[in-house]
This record gives sequence, structure tokens and C-alpha cells, in this order.
Amino acid sequence: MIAGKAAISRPRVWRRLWRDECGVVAVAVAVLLPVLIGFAGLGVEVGMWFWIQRQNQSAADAAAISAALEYAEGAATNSTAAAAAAANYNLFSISPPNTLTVSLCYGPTNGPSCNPSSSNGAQPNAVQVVLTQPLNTTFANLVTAIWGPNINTVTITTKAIAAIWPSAACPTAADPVPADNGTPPSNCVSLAL
Amino acid sequence: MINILRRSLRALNDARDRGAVAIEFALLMAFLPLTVLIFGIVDYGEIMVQATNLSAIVRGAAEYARGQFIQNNGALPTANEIETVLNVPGGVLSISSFCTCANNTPVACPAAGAANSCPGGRIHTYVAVSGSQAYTPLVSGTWPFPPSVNARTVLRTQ
Repeated sequence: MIAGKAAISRPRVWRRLWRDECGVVAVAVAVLLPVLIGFAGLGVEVGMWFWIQRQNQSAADAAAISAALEYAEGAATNSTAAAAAAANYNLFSISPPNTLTVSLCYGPTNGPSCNPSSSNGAQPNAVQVVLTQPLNTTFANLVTAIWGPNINTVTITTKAIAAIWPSAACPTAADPVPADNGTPPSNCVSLAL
Repeated sequence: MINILRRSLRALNDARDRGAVAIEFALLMAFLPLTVLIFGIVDYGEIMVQATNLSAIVRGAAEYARGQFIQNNGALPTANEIETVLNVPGGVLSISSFCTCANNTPVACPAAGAANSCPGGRIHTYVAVSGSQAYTPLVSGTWPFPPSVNARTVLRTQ
């Protein structure tokens, strides 16, 4: 009759345990803690993407200035190497899978990129640098896997365009701020973002 | 853990349910790493704000220094001058310049107007601005947050 006795008392134990509210928060917290930590991790991870994007934007700007100076000196073929050096100095690694692309174009324009073809056959007057950096995800991967295709890579892309100003707009010792198109930078290469 | 909670709840009074959940949660906050998690999130936000501010300061300083460097024929402005111009706290920035040949080999910067020893006479001149600011996190001294935030921007001038 041991089996029968157990069959009678077991539901009572469970019922009592179910009604007993002591320690229920501890259980709830234990269950929710991985979720809490997961979301905190997701927040940190997404924060890092934006931080890296910010750093890379600085690197892209410096690379564009360097490439434009190289181009302005008449060494267009070396402008990719010059851009890579400047990006490297600003903590952007140019080794794969990261990429750095330098292109000559006509600008600056107000659009998101400068025009790759000329309307009047003039020389390109701007240099565009595009940096990409793929990042492997951890928490974003876990969270997106809940509802469908998971995001295991996020690519941070930054772009900068440096335009070469006409020499008339260049400041000289005699004329430090030429009155031409607003305020030119202190040499003939300016940043247009 | 549950026994401790049960005993502490019983010790409080017999009006069992009133505020029990809140008290249990408060006790858990003291015992579990929840506190660490929450303060960690606060620390992380704070360090991101500081790092973003510092990187903006360093970025602005580098652009200012580059302009001054070109205009003054290779004379660097002092860190103090930049801090005054940008209206930022003193002792944060440091500034230097360096030169490489067009093939990226380091070379000593020649005096203003002097010839250089690079192939084809083509030299790259850079202005580098670094910033460092101490940071004291709430959670711990060193881990997982660094004791200071740092930023560096290098811009080419020539």
C-alpha cells in the first residue's frame, strides 16, 4: 500500500508547494536572469557597433584628406597607399576582412556620394574613401535566432569625401582668408562630409 | 536561499502577503549579481559618454592643430593653446607631429623650407593629437572597465 499512500499524498504536497508564495521572486529572478544578462549584452554589443563606426568615420576622414593630398601632388596612383597609411594611424586595420576603397570623382555634391563621371570632361576634383569592417555578432546572433534567420555578421561602412579646392581659394601669406565660397581650409584640400 | 527568505519573511510579521514580493526582491538585489548588472549598465553608459566626448574633443583639436600647423609653416600649437581655444579642461590633450616618406618609412621631419631625403623629395607630414581622461567606474577599479578613456587622431598636413 506504499504506492497507494504516495499516490494520495503527492498531489497535496504539490498543491501546497503551488500555493506557497515564499521565495517565488527568487525563482522568477533565476529564470529571468539569463534574459536580463542577454539584453544587457545586446545593448553593449550594439553600443560597440556605433562606437566602432565613430572611430572608423575619423579614420575615413583622415584617409580621404591624405589621399586627396597625394592626388593634388600629382601622385594619384599612390593615393590608395596614402589613404591606407592614414587609416592605419587612426586605428583602422586595413587587413582582411576589412576593406578600404579609394575612388576619384567629381564633387563635392550634396548627395550621399560624389559623382563618378564628369559632365564637362574636367579632371576629377575629389577623392572618396570607403571603409568596411565586418563584425561577428554574439548577442545579436542569439536574439535574432529566436524569430528567424540570425544576424551573425554586421558590416560597419563609413565614407568620406575630400575635395580639392581651386587654387584661387587657397590661403596665402598675403591673403590668409580668400573670399571665395565661404571659409576655405588653410590649404587646398578640404573635407566635405 | 529560499529558507533564508522564508525565515526572514516569517520574522517580519504575520500579515503575510503585504509587500512580501517587494521585500523579497530587495533581499535578492542585495544577494544576487543584479546590482552588479545594473551598476554595470550605468558604468557602461557613462564610459561611452566620456569616450564619445573625448573623441570629439581630440578630433576637433586635430583639425585645429592641422590648420595652425599649415598656416604657421610647421609650428605646432601647444596643447594648452588648443585646450583654451576649444574650451576644454586642461591636461587632457597631448600633441606631436611626425613625418614619413611617400612609401611610409619614418623619417625625421626637415626644418621648414629645407629639403628632405625621401625618394623624389616626397614627404608626408602628420599631426597627431592624443587625449586621455581618468575614469572611475562604480562597479570596480579595473575590470571590466578601463581606468581611463583614450582617443587619438592623426591627420596629414602635407
